[in-house]
Amino acid sequence: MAKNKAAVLKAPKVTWKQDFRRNWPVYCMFIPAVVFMIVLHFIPMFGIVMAFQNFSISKGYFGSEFVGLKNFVDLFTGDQFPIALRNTICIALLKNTLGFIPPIIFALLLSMIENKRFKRICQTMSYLPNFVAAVVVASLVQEFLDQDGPLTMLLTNVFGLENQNWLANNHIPIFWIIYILMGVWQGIGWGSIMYVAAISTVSGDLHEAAAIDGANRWQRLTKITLPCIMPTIMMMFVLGVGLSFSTGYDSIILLYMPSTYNVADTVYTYTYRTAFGAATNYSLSAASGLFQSVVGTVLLIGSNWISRKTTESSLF
Amino acid sequence: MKLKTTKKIVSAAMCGALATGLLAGCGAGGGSSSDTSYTMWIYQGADSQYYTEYSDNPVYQYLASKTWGEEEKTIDINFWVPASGTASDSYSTMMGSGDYPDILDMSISDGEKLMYEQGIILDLTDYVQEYMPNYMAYLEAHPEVAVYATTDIDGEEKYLSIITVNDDYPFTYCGYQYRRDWIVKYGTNPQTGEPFTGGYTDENDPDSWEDDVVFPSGGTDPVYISDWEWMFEIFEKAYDDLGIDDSYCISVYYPGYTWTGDLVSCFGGGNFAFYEDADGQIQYGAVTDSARAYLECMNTWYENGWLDPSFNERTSDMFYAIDDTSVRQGKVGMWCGMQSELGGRMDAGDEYTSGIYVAGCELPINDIYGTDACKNVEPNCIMTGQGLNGTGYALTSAAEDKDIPTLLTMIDYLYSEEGALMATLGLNPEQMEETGTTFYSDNGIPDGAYTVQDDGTYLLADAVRNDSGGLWSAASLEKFPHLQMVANVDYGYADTYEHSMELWVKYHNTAQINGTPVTTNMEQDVSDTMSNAQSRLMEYTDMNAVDFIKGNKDINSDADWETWCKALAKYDYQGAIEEIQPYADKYEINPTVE
Repeated sequence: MAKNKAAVLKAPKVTWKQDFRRNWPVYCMFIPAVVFMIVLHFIPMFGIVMAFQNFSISKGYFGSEFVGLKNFVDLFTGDQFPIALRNTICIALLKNTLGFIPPIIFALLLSMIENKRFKRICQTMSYLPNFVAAVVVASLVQEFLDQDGPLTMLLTNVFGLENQNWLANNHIPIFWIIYILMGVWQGIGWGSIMYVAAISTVSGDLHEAAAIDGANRWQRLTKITLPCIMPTIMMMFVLGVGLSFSTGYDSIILLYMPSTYNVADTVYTYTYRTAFGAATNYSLSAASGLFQSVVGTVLLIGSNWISRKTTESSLF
Repeated sequence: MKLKTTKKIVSAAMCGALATGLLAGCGAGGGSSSDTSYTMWIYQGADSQYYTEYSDNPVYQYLASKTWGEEEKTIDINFWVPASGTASDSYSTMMGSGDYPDILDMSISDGEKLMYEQGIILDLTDYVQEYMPNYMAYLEAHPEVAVYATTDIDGEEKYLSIITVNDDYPFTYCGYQYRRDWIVKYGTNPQTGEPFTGGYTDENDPDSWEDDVVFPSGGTDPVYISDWEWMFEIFEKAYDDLGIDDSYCISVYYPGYTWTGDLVSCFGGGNFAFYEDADGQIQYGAVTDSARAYLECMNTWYENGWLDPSFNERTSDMFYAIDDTSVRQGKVGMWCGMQSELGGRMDAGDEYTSGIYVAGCELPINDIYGTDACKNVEPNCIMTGQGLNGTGYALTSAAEDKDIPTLLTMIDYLYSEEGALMATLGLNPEQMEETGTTFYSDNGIPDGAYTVQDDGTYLLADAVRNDSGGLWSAASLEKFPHLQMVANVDYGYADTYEHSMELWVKYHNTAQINGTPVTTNMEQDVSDTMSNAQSRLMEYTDMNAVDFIKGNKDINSDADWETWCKALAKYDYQGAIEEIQPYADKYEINPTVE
């Protein structure tokens, strides 16, 4: 029976040429994306070769001396990269725990609001910080946490903490927490969109039936809503883990200073600084960048595999 | 059916347009259509309030309106000017893509020797000797400058670029300055204990200051670190009296030192990088007794509350404009600032700046900190007062098929008396009329930026002299190779003002090697070794010097100092020193210093 059904559902075989003739506008629409990927992502990959060279801009890719894995040895035996790696891992862990949960909670809370107008206002308000440029957010954080900033004053006067510029504090885990909280403030609304969308697909019948059976709001939340959106949560978690190594893409560069490199430097900022900072070393930067990409890819594939095994949902 | 086809065509066309748009930025940059059309990359343009396209420069327009060379050709230059703050990125992109301009400003280049060996820039020796008689004449008359103009290639001195030279070596635009009005008001004569007297003799003249201030060292200007600390104590009295509780006496650049080593070298010589000591030996400065004495001094200043407690947080400030807000509010006693802050020019009539008088001072000589060898030694690593403007302009391989003789003939004109004057000070009224430019009248200097005085000197127009922006730069051809004829310029400065600037250039660089013939003549491998070592060393010192200054590590603890030195030794500065030494043996750091 199943065999017959499969035969019925099988689509007629269409050759590539026939498909192209029929759908050529769709293929045309695909061209910009392909060109974009090739020009801006695949061709620049050739630059990876710098990681294995003593690269000099003037000599170029083909003239620079090949040094094998020397740059990787320098990377891991140097003082700063291991620190950057530690910071990246710690910040990623915090981001995927403390920073990951608030958007879910926020989405669940939003789903509990019954007044639609108020719900929309809350949602819109929560999205706004996401559209504020990173440089503005960083400036706000600097102002608020400066020695005479309002948050510093609050911490000093109410909690009796030392009056200081908190961003200049190079003790663990001050900077990490600031960074995570900044991310939460900026991304809680935007990050909740996927969950709000997922919650909206949960059948109202389930809630209705549960309510009839006497389930209260909390029970409906934990027994119906959360399990239903778990695939989405896992998918977002997979994405989050995969992107862990890009931590510090913009805001850390704007927030850190040489005296806080020991707590704020991440693999990304190290890569950037080594390539474009006062002390440049393109080869070392390329080695760091390659390491970051490889680990990021491994993390993405690994977490995707775990997601598929545990929740039967995955990105690919 | 027809509509469907139309839709398909439109969608295909839109996709094609998108793809074209994506690729629009690829490919070659500007191209020249004739052999006297050139492209030129300069790292910085003029102040955008005057013009955004450098081809609108009035002096360039004059040059472009003339014919040059035996064939009497006109020249046309398309200037490539990167956006502010992106010069390094722009340069890297050019070099990486091979999309070179014909004329390259070498301000942030990899070094002429290296670029010549890679075939990026051309050997101009034959052209310079044949088509640049004025340039050659100047160099022959000034052999101390000529060493900057050539590069040793396999034992042969070659002209790889045309350098802009300044005919008045000791010049600078910034230096240490202090609130002298506070010294008068709150200080007492260290010898007699009598209060000082002084003030403005003419309320409308910001330079008409007279006083009877005497420093502990016995002179009328601060000379030693002890003089500076005496001033700091007076500044504290000023803060108490004025109720300023959120300030400090002096700030330093955010790593805790300047990379050129100006203040560091006051403690026995040297900087936090590679330098040449008095015996001609290359040293790495951050592990020397001088560096330790410097850090000890900074730590003392920090502990005493004299040093800006937030200095390490001011990472976006330039070293000559640290915490500019507090300085301009009149809350800081001493700072590294610019000429436009001298005298009474910062008087905003408010609580803290009313009656302000700012005087310049020389770099101090250490007489307190460190070993005896660190005391009473004149500073020798100086960024300001280096003297020579050695900015070079090279022709790249892109100009190989262009008319180089005509271009160099035009450039050579800017080394003649007439051309140099025009490039330095802008057009005179006749030249303006000839060019038809309204730049000068539009900017309040209808007769030009200067007038010729009876004694043959050139007096700057008031609007230019009092302008703290970029009017002079915009009115002249600053970003082009030329002879800066400033020796005969009468800036109209008052004696007090000139005295301050003389103090800024009192000491000359004789030790800092970056950008000197020692490094510009290096072989590529040596240059790479030095820069790789230096970049890693600098990263370490930038991160950790602050710990000694702020007391997180004890500068007086031999164990902490050993840890610092051992950490730096890991970066093999000794290996770099051995490779640099032969160049220090062969070349002088500053041939303009007698």
